[in-house]
Amino acid sequence: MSEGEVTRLLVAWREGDTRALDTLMPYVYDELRRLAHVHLLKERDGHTLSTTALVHEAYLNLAGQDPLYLENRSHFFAIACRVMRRLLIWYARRRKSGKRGGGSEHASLDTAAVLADDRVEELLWLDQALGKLESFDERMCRVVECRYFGGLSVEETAEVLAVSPATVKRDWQTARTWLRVELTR
Amino acid sequence: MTRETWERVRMIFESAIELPVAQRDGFVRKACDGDPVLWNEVSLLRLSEENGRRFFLDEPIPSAVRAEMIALSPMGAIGPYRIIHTLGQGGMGTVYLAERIDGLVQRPVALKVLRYVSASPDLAQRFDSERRILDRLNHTGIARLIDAGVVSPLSDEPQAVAYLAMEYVPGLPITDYCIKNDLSVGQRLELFLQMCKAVQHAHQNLIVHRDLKPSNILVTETASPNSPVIKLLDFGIAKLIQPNPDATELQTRPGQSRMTIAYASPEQFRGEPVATHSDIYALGVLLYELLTDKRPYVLTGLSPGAVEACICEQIPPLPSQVAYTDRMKSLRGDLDTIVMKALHKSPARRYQTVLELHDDIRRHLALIPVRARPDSRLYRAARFVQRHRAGVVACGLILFAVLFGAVATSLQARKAEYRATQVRTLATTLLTDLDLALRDLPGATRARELVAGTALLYLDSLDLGSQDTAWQLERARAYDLLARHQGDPHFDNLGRLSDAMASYQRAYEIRLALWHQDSTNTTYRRALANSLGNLGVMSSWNGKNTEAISLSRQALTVLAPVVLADPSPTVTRDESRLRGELGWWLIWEGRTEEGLRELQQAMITIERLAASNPNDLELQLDLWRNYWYQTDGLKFSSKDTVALNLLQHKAIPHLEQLVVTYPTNPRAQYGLHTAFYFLGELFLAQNDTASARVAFQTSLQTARRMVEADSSNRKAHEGLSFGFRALGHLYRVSGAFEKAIDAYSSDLAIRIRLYHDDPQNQEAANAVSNAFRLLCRTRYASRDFEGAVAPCKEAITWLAPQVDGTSVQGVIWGNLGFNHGWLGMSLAALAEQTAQPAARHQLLLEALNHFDQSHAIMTQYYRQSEGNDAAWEFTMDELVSSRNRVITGLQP
Repeated sequence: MSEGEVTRLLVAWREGDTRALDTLMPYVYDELRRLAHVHLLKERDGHTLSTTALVHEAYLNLAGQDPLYLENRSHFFAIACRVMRRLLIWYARRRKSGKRGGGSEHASLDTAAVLADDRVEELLWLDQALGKLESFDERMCRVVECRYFGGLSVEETAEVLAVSPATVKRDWQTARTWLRVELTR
Repeated sequence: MTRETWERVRMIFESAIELPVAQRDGFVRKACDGDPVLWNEVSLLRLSEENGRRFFLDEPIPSAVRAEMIALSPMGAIGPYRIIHTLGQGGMGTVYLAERIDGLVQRPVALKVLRYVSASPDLAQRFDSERRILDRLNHTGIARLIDAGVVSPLSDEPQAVAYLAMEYVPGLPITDYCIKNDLSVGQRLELFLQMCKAVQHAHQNLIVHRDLKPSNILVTETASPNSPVIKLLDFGIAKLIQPNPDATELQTRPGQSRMTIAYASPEQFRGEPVATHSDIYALGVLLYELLTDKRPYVLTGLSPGAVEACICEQIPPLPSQVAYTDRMKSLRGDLDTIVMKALHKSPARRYQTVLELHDDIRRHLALIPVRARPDSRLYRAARFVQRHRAGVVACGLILFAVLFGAVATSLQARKAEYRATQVRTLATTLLTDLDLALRDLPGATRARELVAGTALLYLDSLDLGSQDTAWQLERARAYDLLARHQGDPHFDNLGRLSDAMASYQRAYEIRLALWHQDSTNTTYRRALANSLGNLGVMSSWNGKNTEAISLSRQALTVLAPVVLADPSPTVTRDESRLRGELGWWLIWEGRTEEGLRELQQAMITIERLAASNPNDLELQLDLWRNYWYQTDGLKFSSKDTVALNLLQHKAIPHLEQLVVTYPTNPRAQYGLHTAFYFLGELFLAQNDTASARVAFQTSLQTARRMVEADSSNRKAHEGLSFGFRALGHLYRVSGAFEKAIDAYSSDLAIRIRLYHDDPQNQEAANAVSNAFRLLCRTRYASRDFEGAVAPCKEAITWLAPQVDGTSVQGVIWGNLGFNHGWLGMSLAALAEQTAQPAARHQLLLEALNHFDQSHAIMTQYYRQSEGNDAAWEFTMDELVSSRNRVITGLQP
């Protein structure tokens, strides 16, 4: 996909074309996964990785010199955080099924030690709870995606979702409280 | 909870927690206004908020963990494809009709999904580089491979899933189609010819099918019902799935193995390398089946041993003997002979190319005598050559036979003078037409030497004396060609560098004598300059760079007056080639800047000439060599970005174009192999491991193909060794030391074998030494200092006879310095691990000795390299400080 095409899709999505998002998603998956691989290889040589840098790099690779850089970048980050939520949940599901089924030797090869078992359960539960939250408070769900799955800071989240940092702070606080309640229900 | 309720819950809760604790109860009660649902929700939130228990959301996922999870997560569906429905079940997996999720490609594809492939880390890379090679196949008769990849498992599938997306072909297997439509023999042959053309196209691209059978050969009527079109599926896939199938695998594979076995050649059963001749055999079986509706062997119910015996030994009945009576007559004769030739047990006695098979069928259809008919004289000549060496290319055989026969008869029947003319004409034909025809034919390296040698033999037997200058020039040219095939590193050669050197020397002497006769003759001058240049090439590849530089300078001096008088393309091209070579020798001598200047000056001329003569292969290859030499120079002077740019934007596009134009040309292939190798090295230097891996894999695959096409080609083996070395680098850098050692050991094994083919070859010894040094460095990096010592010592031993103590000998000299340095470092590190004082002292002394030797060499080498040590394995500073540490350690 050309750089211009990515930009066009981002604009279309901003203007409410949901199909644009569907077209874009597979590319964002691919690019994020590719970059994550690259970073993992480099990390052994002492490089450190920030998720923001990862997403930013993915954006530059996909969209290139984008004239609508500032607006599109934010939207791209929002998509990337959603993608990351899906990827992480897929990972957790697979990790769980690898534990359960036969032939777990192979599964444990690449999933070993990345994530503790209780974290796997937490992630799967969180995904379900977020599904519920999304049905009555979409923005709050996005905030959790950005903060927890995307690893963005309060300020970055505010920029991505085009709200004030104070709103993000309050959303994040309330969301966590609600999720804590949800966990005990 | 509804959106509205939540809005209110949220507002009340968020306002409450802004208040002092004491006022909250009252506020909430008032705000909820007796609504029990609201009251309940807000209270739960407040409770949770106020008891402040630690919660997992408070701790972010560490970013490295997050990256790892992203990298390992599977995608939806299978890769970028959504499955529509199942098309069929094969031995290796299921084939689905699928479409791209993103809708980027509208047409559906046939998605072959291979489950239960073991998830080796190289699998994805292998898929990727194979896919690039298969991308070269572009033929209407071959279903295109659109995409290939490896994805992590679907939800509960523990192993990796590999997929191949191929052009979807609605059609019937060729055998079913023929029976269903009751096609005549002629119609069947037309379909078979289409199939031959497609297979030939793949073979020209050095891709072997390996698994030709009716289910892989579909007939489709998409264009029109009256013009059926052949489509071959799964080209090169057998190899992709199973790079090294062995014979037992072939026999015991469950499912449709019986089907596959019927088309497997005797050599596949014997576990020998599979090449184009195995596809030709499979085509023979198919032709048999198309003509008779029966297979050549009845294998049902046989034990695996009996199947092998049957296929490897039993001669099948002639097609005309088993066909239906109405076809018998049309099969007897030509078609029987053609089928049996393709089915021959010995690959050497089959058709040598699919094109020959194709042409014979064409001849049969056009009622022209086919070639496959036994020709007793040709057959006898073939046997004669076979006794001397196996695997002669058919083309070589025919002309050899012509020459042999002509000489034999002329000896008895014709006058001596007539004989002389005759032989001379034939020898010249051998040198020009046949050599040109054989030049880039895969598998013909030995045949070329034979041809040049025979021509020379006959020229020499004439002894026309030094007055016959035309004859002298012919002889010199024969020697040149002989040398080229014996061991000129610029060509596919037999690796006999010392023989090549001697032959070039003979040519030089003849031309020098001619030049003495008449130094104003431009033809003699050009010939002499080329001879000097050839000697320069050989000197340099034997490690004698100073000599090479002086020879190249002489060559340029001899040529200079010709260039001045006649700056025509033929002359300027000689000049720029010589200048480019001079540049390279200078670079290897450490005089990088000077060398690069010569190369860039030469490049301007070659680029111009190459652009105006796009069909001149030699010129195009000259241009690649210039790029290659420059890359080397740029690397040595640490201008990695410039080098990367040159490779990516000039050299690789140039070579890719060349490979497309000359698909069977091994020199173009070797160029591509080398270019990707360099590319990988440069990526690696920039820490871009992912790109480096792709480049190295492409490089290794290209080399593998070359070895498959011609196992006597020394350059192909060198390529393979470079490929292993590259993988070793990659593993070493990413810390997979055991794997690195495996790869380097494969490199070493090839290098030692190549050395034994030619023990006089200094470059070969240097390459062995380098392979040992790499093993040493890998062990050193893995902190196995004890294990590092032995290969380091080997590395030194291999170079010792190559350098005499006094003269400075460029790169080989420098390598010896590196060997001593690494041995010193290994010993010093080992000393640090040794507690026992006496043993420790001994190790330090030994280390100091090697540091001293290294220092003595490197100081000279440093001066020679104009003080540039940035690209060295260790810098002068590092060497000196390591040495100083040892001295400190030795002090009481």
